[in-house]
Amino acid sequence: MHADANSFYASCESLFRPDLRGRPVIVLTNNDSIIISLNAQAKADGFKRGDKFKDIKELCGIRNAAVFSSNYTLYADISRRIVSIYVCLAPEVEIYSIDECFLFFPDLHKNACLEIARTIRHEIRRQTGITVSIGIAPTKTLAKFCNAQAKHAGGIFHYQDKNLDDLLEQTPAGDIWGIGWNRVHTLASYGVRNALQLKQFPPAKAKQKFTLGGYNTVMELNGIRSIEKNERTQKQNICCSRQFGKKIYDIASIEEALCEYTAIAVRRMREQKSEAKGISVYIATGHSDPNRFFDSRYRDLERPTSFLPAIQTAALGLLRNIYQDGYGFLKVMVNLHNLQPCRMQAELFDDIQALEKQEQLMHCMEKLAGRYGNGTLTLGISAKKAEWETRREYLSPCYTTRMSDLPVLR
Amino acid sequence: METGFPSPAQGYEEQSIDLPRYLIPHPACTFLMRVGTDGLESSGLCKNDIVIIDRSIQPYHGALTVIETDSGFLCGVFLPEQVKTDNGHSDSARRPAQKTADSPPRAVVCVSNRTRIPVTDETPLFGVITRIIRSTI
Repeated sequence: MHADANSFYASCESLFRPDLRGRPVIVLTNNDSIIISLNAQAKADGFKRGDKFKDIKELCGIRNAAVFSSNYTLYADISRRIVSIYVCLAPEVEIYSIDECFLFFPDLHKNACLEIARTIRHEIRRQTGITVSIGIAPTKTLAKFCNAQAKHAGGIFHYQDKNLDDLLEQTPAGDIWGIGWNRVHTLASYGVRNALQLKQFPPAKAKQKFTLGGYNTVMELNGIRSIEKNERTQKQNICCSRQFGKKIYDIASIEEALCEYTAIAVRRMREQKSEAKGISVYIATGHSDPNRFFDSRYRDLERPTSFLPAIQTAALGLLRNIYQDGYGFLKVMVNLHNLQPCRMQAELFDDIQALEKQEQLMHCMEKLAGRYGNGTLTLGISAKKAEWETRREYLSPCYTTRMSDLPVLR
Repeated sequence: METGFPSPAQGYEEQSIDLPRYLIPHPACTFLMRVGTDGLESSGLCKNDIVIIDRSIQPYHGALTVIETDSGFLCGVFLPEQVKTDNGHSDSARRPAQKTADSPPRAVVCVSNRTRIPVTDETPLFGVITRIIRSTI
């Protein structure tokens, strides 16, 4: 089964704003520049996903739309709750994204499947207030396709419901999960334009002519499981980057931002118990800036490490090498490379005491961060974030994760 | 390593009380709210109290509940409506509040202003208040 929440971000915002019932709700992303999620009323009023905010600002006023910036903290918490309910109702759950999951069941009769799907929908709605739709099929690709049909069919769609082939015929091949826009042309050259033609493509020929991904998709459309369950793999590479809210012309602000992003990346790396062997830093102005500039540099770290001060020092060194005056920078990215599991034993020339002290310091910082929040302790450079932080002007409170942000009861 | 006398408590130890688990047995469907008005004192809620709301609990007659309205979240006492049985006697007090296809309409009586608000798709119940947390300092 494939389960996903309808208009997830917009739905999360509406959960704690009963006063917005009946009004269009839109959620912006990427520095408050484009619509990422919108409720049914907003869709009816003519808003669309991907609309640029500056283009629809006037329409927002006319339609009395409620506008929100993406509140990832809130969405992540609601998503966690939903997943914990799936875990109670399905033997195996694979999280695909913040609002989509694959649920695996043993082969069941159609009526049993529908009953389970109805229960899942009912429980998620009752316990969290979020509506999910569910597609039921023997393969992931078909289940995702069925879910898309479910949105027009009362929320649940089983692959044996209507004539599946008719529906596949009406669907462009590029709409199928796993077929990117760059493959659409390749497929068209073989005469494959809709999903039914893709399904009926001879498997032997698909194996020969398409990539492995394309071949798997053909098999899955025919009900043969080919896409493996996502085994948890350790990341080889961790990157952290953000777009600034406005152009930054001084190196000091970029250094602050770089330190923060490095801290975030190192935290994620330590969560998977890895250390990095290399680091790179990338800075850039906007794409459309007439005075365009971008550069990046990589270096190996003296020793594989997850010690934040050492990594931040390396990052700042790289920045100073590539920074140039006179440009309005919009983006900085730090990348930790060649991650390997933390070594249990020290090597021949390591200073064991120093290493242990470093580890203690990291533990202490992590504990404080756990209790008081991630921004509590920063190294060296003061936190003067207003200049460069990503613009989120319409952010809602973190209703479920901060005592100071609780909804009010009257 | 054993030294001296064995502990007389051996075999009787228990885990310390897990207060969060006691207060919130169903984390996935539990939400917190803060009481923002003095007007709920008749139901035992003082301003700035924290209420624990469980969405999975079936509301029962007299339950303190939270209802969604266009003025925000309001606190109401749950009342399944009066229903005439065959011999004309109303039966609501003993009837559990089940929502079946042709169940009687449900409503809450708003604590702050005593108005009756029907439970509908436009004004649904958010959940049942299970605990009130009040700070005395």
